[in-house]
Amino acid sequence: MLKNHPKDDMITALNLREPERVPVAPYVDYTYASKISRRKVSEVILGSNELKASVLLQAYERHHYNWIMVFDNPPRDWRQNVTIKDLGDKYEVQNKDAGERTFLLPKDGTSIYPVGDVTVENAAERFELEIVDRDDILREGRCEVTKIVKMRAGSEALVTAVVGAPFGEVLLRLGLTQGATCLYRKPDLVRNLCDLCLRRYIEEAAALSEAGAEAFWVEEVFAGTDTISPKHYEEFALPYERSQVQALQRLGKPVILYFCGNPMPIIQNIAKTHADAFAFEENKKNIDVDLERIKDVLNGEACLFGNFDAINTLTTNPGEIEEKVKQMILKIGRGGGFVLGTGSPITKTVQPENVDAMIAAARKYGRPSSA
Amino acid sequence: MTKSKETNVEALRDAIVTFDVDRIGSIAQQALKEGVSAYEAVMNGMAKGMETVGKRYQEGEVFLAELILAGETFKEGMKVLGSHLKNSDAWYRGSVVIGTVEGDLHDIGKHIVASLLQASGFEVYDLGVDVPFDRFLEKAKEVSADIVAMSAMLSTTFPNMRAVIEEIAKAQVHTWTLVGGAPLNADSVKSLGPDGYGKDAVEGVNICKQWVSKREQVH
Repeated sequence: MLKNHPKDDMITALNLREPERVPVAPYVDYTYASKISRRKVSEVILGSNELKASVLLQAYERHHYNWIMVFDNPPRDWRQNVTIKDLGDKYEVQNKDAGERTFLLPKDGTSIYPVGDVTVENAAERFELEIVDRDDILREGRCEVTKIVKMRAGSEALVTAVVGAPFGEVLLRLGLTQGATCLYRKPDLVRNLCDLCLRRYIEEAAALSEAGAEAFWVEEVFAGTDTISPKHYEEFALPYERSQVQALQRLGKPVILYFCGNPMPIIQNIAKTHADAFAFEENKKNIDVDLERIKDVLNGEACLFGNFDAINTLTTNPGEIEEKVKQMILKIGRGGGFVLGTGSPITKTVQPENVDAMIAAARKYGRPSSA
Repeated sequence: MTKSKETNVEALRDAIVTFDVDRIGSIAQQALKEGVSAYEAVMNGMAKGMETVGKRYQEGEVFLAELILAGETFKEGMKVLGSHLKNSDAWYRGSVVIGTVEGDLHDIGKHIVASLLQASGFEVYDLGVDVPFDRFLEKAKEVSADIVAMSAMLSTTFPNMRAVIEEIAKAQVHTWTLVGGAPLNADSVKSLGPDGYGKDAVEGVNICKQWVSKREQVH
């Protein structure tokens, strides 16, 4: 008979102790959650905050993993400030407000924001406009999804808010070509933009924390060595990751740094961000993410999320999934400080039975080593 | 080549290797002024510089950002040299139709590959993103493309990639098919059946170069 609630197991693992069962924290965003609710993704993205929360909660209720990720908190009345063009198989959503961005929305896919939507000339101005004060964020209803999820499931599952990381955001917004050029030709601009992003994310985190977020998942998307050199990571990305982690930890909430791309050549430096937990992508783009080595580097000072393969393994069958979960837990999941996560978002091609199999396997093999 | 001309060609090579996007235009102009042919400047200067950067990338000495910057530096140089290349110059290797398959709107990888292909002497026809499967064959026939290259970020687009490859095989055109992208690996590529798979941008471009040189040998 389990004594602990699923949420307790998450907190125990994040506190580097061994929970009753290895907690499972799959990356479930609106793509997969919409499938569970039998809705098109675009319907959810264009829908109300209440609908967004309800879809995330339905996915949670279907699977009963240990957390709920919350994203995309637009202002309550955001639909009044956009024009939506139907392009056939997708929508183009244009924000009339200069501070917001335009994006494409496939009718059954998730939002695609254009890479390189700012120029060297207008980037600073655009980034300034995007900094919204914590109180305004709350007043505009930008944290409603978080509030609703917390109210309905916060006693059972760890409500975890997803936020970006400054350097990755800057490179995404400048685009890789402009961004690469700026690293060499305009490093001060890159730092200035990172500063502005950091300010924005700190305000957002403060608001999310007040709305009920109990942890933060910080996504660093372009700082791996498959994109930039270790030298550039140390010079541009690491200082801002560190500052962001510290600022979010001051809110009293654990921070999970989700580091995309190749972390291996810089793993010692990534560990210096002192996040409470680290998560990585599954092996892809010919990158071999060696979790055993990462665990050694972390040396028991941070929690490690397993990067269960959401692309190639979670699409197979329950038997293979169980075997792979077992292997992962036996290799790196014993002794506490481990959460079974997925390396990337679960796609809509994944069958719910496979997600069930992953969770069941974690609960079967993820008992304390003394059991 | 005179010593002075050699120095100019070397300067072009170095400009690529040091990503001197600001000065390569004036270096190229100086080379032309000193009597270096545009062909020589491109082939032995800039293209050699790109090869060096490509090699360093594969050896882990430079990274994607540097590869991109080298490509941009090359483009700047070509703004000066391109119009001086004669039709008889054997700079152009072949043509490539490239795109991100239908259902996928990501274009970063495709953009990098297209840039490196152009820097390697290929005529590149970029179809953009979310490209319907039959558009690849249509364009390939229109321009008599040597290669059709497809990029994907989402594994959900595999059926569309397969459709392109099958269409091209059915049409019996002399076009190689190349795939690349984050969700691909050796196993998934086997099920798709392309002629080649580039695990990174540089490998993809090298495969293209090998193919067209085989074709030149046959003819």
